[in-house]
Amino acid sequence: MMPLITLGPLRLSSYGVCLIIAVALWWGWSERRIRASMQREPDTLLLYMVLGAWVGGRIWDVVGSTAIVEQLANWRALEFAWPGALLGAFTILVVAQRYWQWSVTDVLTQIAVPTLCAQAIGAIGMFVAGIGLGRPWQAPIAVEMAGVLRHPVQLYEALVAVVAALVIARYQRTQQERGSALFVGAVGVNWLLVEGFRAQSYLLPGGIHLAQLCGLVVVLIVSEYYGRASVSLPVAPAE
Amino acid sequence: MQPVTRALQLRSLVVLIVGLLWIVGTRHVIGVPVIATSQQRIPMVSAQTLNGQIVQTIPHSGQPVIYVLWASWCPPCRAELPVLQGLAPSLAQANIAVILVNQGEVPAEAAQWLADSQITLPVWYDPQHAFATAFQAHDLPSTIFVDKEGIVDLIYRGPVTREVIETMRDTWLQKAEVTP
Repeated sequence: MMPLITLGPLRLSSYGVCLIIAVALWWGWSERRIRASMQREPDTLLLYMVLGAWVGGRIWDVVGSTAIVEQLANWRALEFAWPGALLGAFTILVVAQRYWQWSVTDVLTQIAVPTLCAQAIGAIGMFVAGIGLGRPWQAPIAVEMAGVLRHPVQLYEALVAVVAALVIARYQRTQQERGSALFVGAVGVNWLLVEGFRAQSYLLPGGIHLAQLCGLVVVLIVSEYYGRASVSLPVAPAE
Repeated sequence: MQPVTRALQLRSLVVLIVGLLWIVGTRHVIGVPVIATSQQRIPMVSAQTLNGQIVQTIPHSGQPVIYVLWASWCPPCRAELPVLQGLAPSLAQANIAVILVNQGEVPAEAAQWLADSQITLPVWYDPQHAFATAFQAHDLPSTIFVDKEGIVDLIYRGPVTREVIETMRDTWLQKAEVTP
């Protein structure tokens, strides 16, 4: 990954630039939505969520490395693993619910679409920078990266995120209360569909991608949630 | 209410089955060779020797080189290295160099393991994973076959077999006969 801009110890790659754009978009959009719907000032919460995402992403990125300390100390690294970032931000949200009375479901509902759009921008940044590569593949739509034809897995990720954002945005026009579950489901679907095409991924015996299994579990939980919600929906009395 | 609950269970079951099929269908099959389609020239990648001397890849070394990315904590690597050690004489006879590139370990610890395992092949130490990054070969072991012109012929993920190495050796020998 070649740096585009070098400012002292800080080296910004095309991915770094996309990441900054994504975070700025996410922050501004989320802030506006939360303020409008919950009538609270979310700046501190969003700041801690960004920090939680960064720390979670870094931890996820270096777990399994034999040089964990050195990797963690690499504070300049902008590349972080998206699942770890989500978990880090979610942990902050749970803490915020416990101590600052923020509602996890309400906040998730409001940040769902901005987060998915930010993910799409970040994924496109990874594609441009040539990181987070896909598995080798011989097909007309394969993209040559690092000297090998590969799945454009970053574009798959962006596509799934954008489609999920559109679905959720459309759904939220009528049913605000389920946006958080849909968002969690979208995260699960993305892991389930996309992670199998990534070259670098935590593997279980048999070459099974851990992230895909996690995604399937998340999708099943959301599926059950929707099923129960459907069962408990009030039935209109017969005329 | 009961039919609704049954339908719900059926839906989850369908999600589970389809999801599992998808996961199995997209699983990562270790050991599939990856051909460097662009016939890319080997990039300049640096590592170090046990005594701290900096070494790096040479684009026009004049002899084919096999770089083996490994770590002592990786069981398939531990199984693979003795195979390579056994093939070393025939590879040397064919003027093919084998370099073991340790990924991310403390050199002294890795060297101790090599000594205990009686592996005497040349070793480079790459604490920053520069090779894995340069070749996008983060699965260990990975083996990079570079011909005498410095062209990356093959990147092989997973434990390389004797057959693969012998096939590459024969290919390079044939190529040398055609283009001396």
